[in-house]
Amino acid sequence: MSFTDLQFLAFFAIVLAVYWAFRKKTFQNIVLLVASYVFYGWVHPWYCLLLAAGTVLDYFLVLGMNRFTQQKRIFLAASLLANIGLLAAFKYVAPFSRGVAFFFYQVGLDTQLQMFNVLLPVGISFYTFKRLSYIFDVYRGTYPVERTFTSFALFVAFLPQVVAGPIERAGKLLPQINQPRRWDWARVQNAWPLLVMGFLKKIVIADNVAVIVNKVYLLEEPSKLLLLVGSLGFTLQILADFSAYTDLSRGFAYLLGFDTSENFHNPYLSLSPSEFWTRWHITLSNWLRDYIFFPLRRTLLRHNRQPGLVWNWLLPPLVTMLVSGFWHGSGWTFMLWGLFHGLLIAIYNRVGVGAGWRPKRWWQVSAAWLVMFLFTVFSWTIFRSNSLAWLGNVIFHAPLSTSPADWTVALVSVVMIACYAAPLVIKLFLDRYGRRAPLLEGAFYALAVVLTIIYTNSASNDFIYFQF
Amino acid sequence: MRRLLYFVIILGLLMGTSWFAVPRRYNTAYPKTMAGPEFDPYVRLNVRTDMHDLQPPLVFMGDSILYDGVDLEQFNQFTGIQAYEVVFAGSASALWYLILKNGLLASDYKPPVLVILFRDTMITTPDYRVNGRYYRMLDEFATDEDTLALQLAYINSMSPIEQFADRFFPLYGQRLDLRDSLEYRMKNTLPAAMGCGEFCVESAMDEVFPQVVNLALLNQALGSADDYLYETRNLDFKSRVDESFLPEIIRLCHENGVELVLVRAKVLRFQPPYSEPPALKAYVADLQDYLEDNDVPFLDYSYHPDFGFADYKDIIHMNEAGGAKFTAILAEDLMPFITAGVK
Repeated sequence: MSFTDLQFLAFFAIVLAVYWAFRKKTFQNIVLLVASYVFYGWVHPWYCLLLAAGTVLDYFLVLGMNRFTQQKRIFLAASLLANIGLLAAFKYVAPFSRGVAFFFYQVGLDTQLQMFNVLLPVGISFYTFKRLSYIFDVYRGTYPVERTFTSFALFVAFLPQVVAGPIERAGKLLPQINQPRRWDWARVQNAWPLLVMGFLKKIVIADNVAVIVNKVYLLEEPSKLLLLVGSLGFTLQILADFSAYTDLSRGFAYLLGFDTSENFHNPYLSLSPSEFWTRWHITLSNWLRDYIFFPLRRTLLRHNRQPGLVWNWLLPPLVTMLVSGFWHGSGWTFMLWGLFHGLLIAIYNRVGVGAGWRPKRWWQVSAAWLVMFLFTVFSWTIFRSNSLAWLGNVIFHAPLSTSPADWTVALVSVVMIACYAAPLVIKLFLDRYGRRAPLLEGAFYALAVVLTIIYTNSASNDFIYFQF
Repeated sequence: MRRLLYFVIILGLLMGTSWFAVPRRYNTAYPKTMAGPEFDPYVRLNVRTDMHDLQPPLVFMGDSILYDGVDLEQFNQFTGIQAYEVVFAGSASALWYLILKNGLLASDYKPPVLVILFRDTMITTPDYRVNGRYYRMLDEFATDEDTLALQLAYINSMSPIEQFADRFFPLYGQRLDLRDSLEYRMKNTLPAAMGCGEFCVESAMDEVFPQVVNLALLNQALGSADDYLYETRNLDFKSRVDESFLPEIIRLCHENGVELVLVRAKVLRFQPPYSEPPALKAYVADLQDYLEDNDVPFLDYSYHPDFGFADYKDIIHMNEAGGAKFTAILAEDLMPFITAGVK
């Protein structure tokens, strides 16, 4: 069941009706918790066991951490071991084991091990990081222990976020879970534009651009021109797909009476990599910044107080972005993608171009934007590549173009990508200049609904970020 | 609040306009009497006339698996007959039913033996490959009276809300046409202005995209495209069979004196075997029992030990050597039916 399924919408409507039928927050939380587990276990009920086991374990470990303050490091270590162990087991060991089993089969040995055939539970990276952030915060004393089990369990399994984030912090979500909630029409005001945009981005933009992107990336050796076009397409596809999920998640959360975090803020307008990471997948970036980047930099500076020392400025972004790459997947392309971003941040920071950097002249802004946009497109090329060997082959051996047909296909693809990107560009202008033009905004959203209806398929592709 | 008000008003206006403009543009009437797409009354006649002219003693029907897996010339040489094949890449049970009903059996000559080559749950998944471009293929062999095909291929898989929207909202009911029209403009307007018309664009696409594809990724793409066949619902033979085309295909063959032979081809999706879901094994067992009860011969090659990676060009399609090997084995196994049919 995906957010764009009619089945989900019917399910959510029932949940909403039952949820608001209760006035006490305790009952509302129980309804929402049950609904979250039903949604999460809809296809594979055993996913719920995994989610529940981790939740129970962390709940008690944090209680223990709070009670036995002298040994709180042990509780933290146990939680880290359990959470990262599970994540690694499902995300990295299982695919590796399947590869081993396949190798055995090809050399004539049928291993018959069913354990190799374990599916990666959707959303495991998201809720694991969510739980870890809570544990770190309690350990550091920046957030109090949550003693009500249902509140903690709901924080972890919160229906709009359980499958693909955002990775909400306890400090933002738990107080809302513990507060009484009343139905308020103002929340609908916040919810409907997000829902309209979410459906438009997924059904009209992401799913259709994906067709062009997949065709290019399926080729054994596309020309450089086609790779560029495919990568431009993917740059649009991944933004539309992932931000669609966040928009829908936030829209549904509003309807349930919650205000959740924005995850994307026009990332492709960034002028520097640091700025990009304050605009792209904001909740993950903040997580990495607060629990890896800052602690690592503090530790390095504590041991060596020279900020100019190469390790002090190079290691924190490099390690942080490598973890980000590792979080996204087990392939080497993800590692290289992380490494590329880490190096980019380090180099930009070294020359004094941080997140707040803003040149004065318009042409400097344009040039900085263009350079950063090209870096972004290239990083998505690495991310989407089938393998490092494939990428290396295309970059170093493939011709710029193989025939006039290549140029025709490139032209057609660019026009189609531009057409699919148009609603996002219009929305950007409306957000900037159309706040006082409700008629224009109303017309835009109405057209978005019409387009979504026209592009509705019987089956929509899964959201890209489900696989993380 | 004003933004929401404007949104509702403009959306209402657009929906209202579409109620008049869309049916006029596509020459249809709303509300429709039945949900689902509408077939035109015209049927492609080549299969019907070929039956009349060639009078083949055996007809093969299937998708690209048949195209790659059976070498008709070699088969004819081996068996000494002139078999005929109806191959449409991307076809599935809905199209096979329509070709059987409006093509093969609509001719004055009925082939004595019909062999349908399928894989896994295709034969009982009526809504597999019926949307988008597949709908156009179906329409070529369907008449406007093929309501059963509409029911099984489309309506049964629609929720009541979808059925309602399809019948009463032209914007939803005609969305395939509207989408085609939008995409046609996106794809062709600028190239046409630059002197490259529709044919030029299509030729360029055909030249660029069938280039050598990455095999591992192709297999992955083929696997994902077929995921639907292996969903829990579709692996439940007993609940699916009555809403599939299989009972009708069997009935039509029996009533017209055609010996139907179902052939399950081997695919490498579940190689190594440890990854084959138990539900698929149960499905095949149930299918076998059902066919036995209905006197339909069933040849299952999915576990045939002679076929491995070396015989395939991807996880579904055989290569030339694999096809030659399969043709020889199949010809031998079909001989009793051919002999009986000739008599």
